[in-house]
Amino acid sequence: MKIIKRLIPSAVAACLVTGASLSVADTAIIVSAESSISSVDVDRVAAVFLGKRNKIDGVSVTPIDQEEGQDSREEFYSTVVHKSASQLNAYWSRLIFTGRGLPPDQVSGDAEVVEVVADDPDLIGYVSPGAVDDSVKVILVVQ
Amino acid sequence: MVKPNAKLALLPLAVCLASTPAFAASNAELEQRLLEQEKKIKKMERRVKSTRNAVKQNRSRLSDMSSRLKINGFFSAGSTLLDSKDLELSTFNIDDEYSTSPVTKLGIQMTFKVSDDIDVTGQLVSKGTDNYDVTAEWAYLSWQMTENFTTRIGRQRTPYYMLSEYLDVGYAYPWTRPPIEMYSLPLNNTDGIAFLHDFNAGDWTFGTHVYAGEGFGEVDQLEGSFRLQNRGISFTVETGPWAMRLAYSNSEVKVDSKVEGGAGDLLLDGINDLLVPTAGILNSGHPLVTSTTDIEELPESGIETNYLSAAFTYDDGSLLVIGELSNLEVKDFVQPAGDGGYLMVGYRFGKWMPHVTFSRFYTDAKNDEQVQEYIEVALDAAEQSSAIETLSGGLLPAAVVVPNAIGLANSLETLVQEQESVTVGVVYDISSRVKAKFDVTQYSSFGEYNQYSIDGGGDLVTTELDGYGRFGLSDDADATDIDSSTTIYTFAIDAVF
Repeated sequence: MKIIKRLIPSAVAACLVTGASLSVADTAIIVSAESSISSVDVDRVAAVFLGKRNKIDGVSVTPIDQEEGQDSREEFYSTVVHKSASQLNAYWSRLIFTGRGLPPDQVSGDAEVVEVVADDPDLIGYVSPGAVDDSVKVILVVQ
Repeated sequence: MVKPNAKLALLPLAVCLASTPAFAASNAELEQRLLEQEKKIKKMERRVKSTRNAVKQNRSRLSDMSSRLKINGFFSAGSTLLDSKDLELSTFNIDDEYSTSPVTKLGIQMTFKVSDDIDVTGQLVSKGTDNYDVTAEWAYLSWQMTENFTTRIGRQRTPYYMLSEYLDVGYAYPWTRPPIEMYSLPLNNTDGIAFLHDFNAGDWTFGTHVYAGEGFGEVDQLEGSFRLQNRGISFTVETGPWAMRLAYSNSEVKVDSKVEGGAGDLLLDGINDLLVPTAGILNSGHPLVTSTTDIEELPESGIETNYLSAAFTYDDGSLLVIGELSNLEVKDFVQPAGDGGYLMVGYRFGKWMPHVTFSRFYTDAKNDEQVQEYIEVALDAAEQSSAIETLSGGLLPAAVVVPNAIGLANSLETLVQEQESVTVGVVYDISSRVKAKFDVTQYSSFGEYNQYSIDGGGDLVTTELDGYGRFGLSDDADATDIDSSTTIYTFAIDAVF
């Protein structure tokens, strides 16, 4: 039941927002509804969240992360970035302590990601598709 | 924020109530009063509005402060020992008794965003191996000049090798300590300027790091310290699971201070004041003396060193492979310089990662030949000491030359080194920010070296002894009978926060 409950709104949201096929998605990559970005591939999203890239289609983006322990976060890093939480921390510690970069700012969860992304056309975030509303635009759904 | 609004909403009502007894008053009077009240309301509204703005500003200033200042840290603790009574690893304070200080480290890093493209970073580190003295390992200002180009000014870790910049951050690498065959340079920081350039092309990321500045280091075995003018460049290429790195560094070293009568002082004085004049006599062509080689005086400044290293990492999330090779060259000076390298393979099974590493170091032929020249002169001097006494007109008496030359030859012998190690270890993720590690490393293949003495008949005796690589002999060790290998056991907990 739980899974079905989760999946139904996800699928509906994904279809509504992207107008795409009937795919059942687990992670939606979102930008502000006002952003000019319309789509992105998985590798680029991973590169943006690892601080390796800061542009999508020539548009500057700033990733916004979720706090550790959030389901969406675990889903995102395992399916999009392909790193476990400890691999991710090892990766960032090599950058932080050599002054080469800082991890993205974090917010508390899906709802807050939608809220801040809607407000700022530079931000890019990930949420479970059920959290999406029309203030933001889904540019990729990853299963 | 709701309350002042509610009060404001009640105001007109209050005004009405208040004015009821004055019903008889004239219209003009009433209008006047209403006007006054309206003015009051406007005033209060304005006040509420400005209070609200002030609160808003304060809040944004607070969140601004917290987003401008980032604090991160790392911590390691654990215990270690080695299993030989003969050998010790003095650079890490490791001997045959359990100790925690070789593993304990605490680092705090603060980065303050000064403006959109300028930030200031300081990293303070306290290590058990340095008696927990707190030192600023990093202290620099970073200026992001363009999207891909950053300039840094101040103190930075010198990127000699792949792990050099985060050597203290145990969490960032799989071992409890990186292979000592390679990571045992006595210097870490460069105070100066660095330029960092990164760019992407397709799935490839390219990085270039150029730096120049002044460094400072201490060599415990030589009981001295040195300064160096340092410059170097490193290139990194990353694509998918692969990362590759090439680095070159060139320094000009000068002896900064040495303990009088210490190992380095005795070596320098012995070579420059005794061996060099002796070599001059031996090479004079006089029929009383013969020599196979000649030597130069050891400089105390302008010593050129070159570091070259190449490394790769493969990490697909499960399989982790790291390999690195390096060469250190020290020109016109006697130092154990040569080639080092390692290959590490690990595989992640959920929270566990077992790994194995092979590592090797040896002083190269160039270093060994250079050291050998000084040894030969010392041995020639000891063997022809009476002729030297005569030819020097008694300035270099045999009674002084023999023991000093033999002593020098023996200490020069320790500058030819080799060793190998095999590490088997496991890493366990306790949480996403804490790891437990256990390593067992066996060190062996130390080679042999010669020890020289003069027997009762005045003849030179050469004894071949077992070497001990980068280790040192403990006080109780009998150099003629030492363990041919030793194993270091280390347990550590590493955290980042």
